[in-house]
Amino acid sequence: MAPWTPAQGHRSGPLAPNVSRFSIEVSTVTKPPTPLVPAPSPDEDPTGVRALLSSLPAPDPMPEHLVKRINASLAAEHAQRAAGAEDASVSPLLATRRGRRGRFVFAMAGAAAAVGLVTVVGNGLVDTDSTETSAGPVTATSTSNPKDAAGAEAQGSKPLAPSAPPLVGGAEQSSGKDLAAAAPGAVPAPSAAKSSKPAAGIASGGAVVTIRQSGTRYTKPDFVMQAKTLGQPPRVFATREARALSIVGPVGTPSGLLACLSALGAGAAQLVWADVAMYEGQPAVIIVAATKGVSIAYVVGPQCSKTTPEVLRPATRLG
Amino acid sequence: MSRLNDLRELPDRELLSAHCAGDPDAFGELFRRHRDRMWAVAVRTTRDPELAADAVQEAFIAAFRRADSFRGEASVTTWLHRIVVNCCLDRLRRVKPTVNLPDADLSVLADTHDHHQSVDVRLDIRAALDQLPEGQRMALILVDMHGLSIAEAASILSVAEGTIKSRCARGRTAMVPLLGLSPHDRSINPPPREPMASP
Repeated sequence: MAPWTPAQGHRSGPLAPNVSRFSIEVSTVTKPPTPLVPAPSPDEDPTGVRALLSSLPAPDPMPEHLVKRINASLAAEHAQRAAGAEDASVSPLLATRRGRRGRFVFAMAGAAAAVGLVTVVGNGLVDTDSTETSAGPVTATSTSNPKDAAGAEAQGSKPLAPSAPPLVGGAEQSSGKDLAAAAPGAVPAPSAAKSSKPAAGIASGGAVVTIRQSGTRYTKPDFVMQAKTLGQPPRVFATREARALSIVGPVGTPSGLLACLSALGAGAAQLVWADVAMYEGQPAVIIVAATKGVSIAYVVGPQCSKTTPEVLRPATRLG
Repeated sequence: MSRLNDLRELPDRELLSAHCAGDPDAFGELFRRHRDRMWAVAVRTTRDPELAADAVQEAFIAAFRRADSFRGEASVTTWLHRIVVNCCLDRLRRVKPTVNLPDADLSVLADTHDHHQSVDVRLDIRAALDQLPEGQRMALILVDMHGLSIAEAASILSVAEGTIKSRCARGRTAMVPLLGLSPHDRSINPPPREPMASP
């Protein structure tokens, strides 16, 4: 066979004319076009859990009683907003934000110290010295100092119901002072605490609660000024009023008071003072709730509860 | 009555603006419009109707008071969701402080009996959800149970979208053994690692 020469071109070989070996190699390594498959979505769920979760029935609509409760709270907020414009000239009950914080820290430290001395567990801390009330019982269940426990009982405590939710606080005198010292603003708290022996506690929700029973006759025109006297010594009031006050319901206990506040939309209050008293001639509980430096006064009926706020006066912002 | 009807025609943002401007009925309409959805989120988040009721009430009061803080970056419903979820989580932490289990340990809690077709499935799912870390549980509740988008869930929980994706994937994977699901799921792939940046 004659040797291949360029002049012979491709006719002497197996290749087609005008096609080089190099071009053949290129064509054999060309990939076929890939099909257009979408990349997996991050929402894809090979476990099937997503489908399972999404197939669960939705909860029922909001219960009617809760709708009413929230509507009542929103109405109270509206009233407060309107009253806020009217009472714009009222000086804040609490002096300054800085001062309040200082007192709050002081009060918390005092309360904590008191807890170290006396641990009181109960669902009711209304002092029963001055009048008979239907407030829940209190007892000292554990203490590092029996004298302190005895002191707590000497203040009018009663045995605790076994099923009562726990509430820890200081019934000892010094804690009362500290908590009262943190009471709204210009209140001469320490002496008041001494004479009226308000019950104080840290509710399970974390709020510091002070409840007392002064029998003060709060009136609409003087309400803001009177609210400042929360914590002053109680006056002696007539038997008829005492009888009326004795119908105070669960709101006379820290847990009941917090439930009532919850119905008013102030369940997150950090400091709470309550005075079982009279408002416009009828039994009432005057509550001052401080949340993040803002104090708001509420006036509710003695049967205020989580489901029935019994608002006697629109919420009043004190500062 | 016609005024209330007028309010019903307004979009959420305008209702919120009207409320900020002093309209006494605008927020009530917002409440009426969103209450059932917020209630559902609260119930599923807390699994306790009483806790949910308190949280929803607190949330709507907070929204009422802080309406002027709404900056319009998200929708009103997302903003409300965020407030409700935060109220729920706050209350849950107050009531039952918990320490989340690491993801790797979840499989030991698996319920291995084969009954995911039974009437107990719903209870099992809730119990399984409870075993998840809070972040994963919330991601699954919002995305898988409430059908929110990844972006909405990220906005509500204040985390990156990638975090929501990975939490969903991790949560679903962790749910499989907890629900006693049979692993047809050889195909289950390990979920992507959660970004370190977000909590």
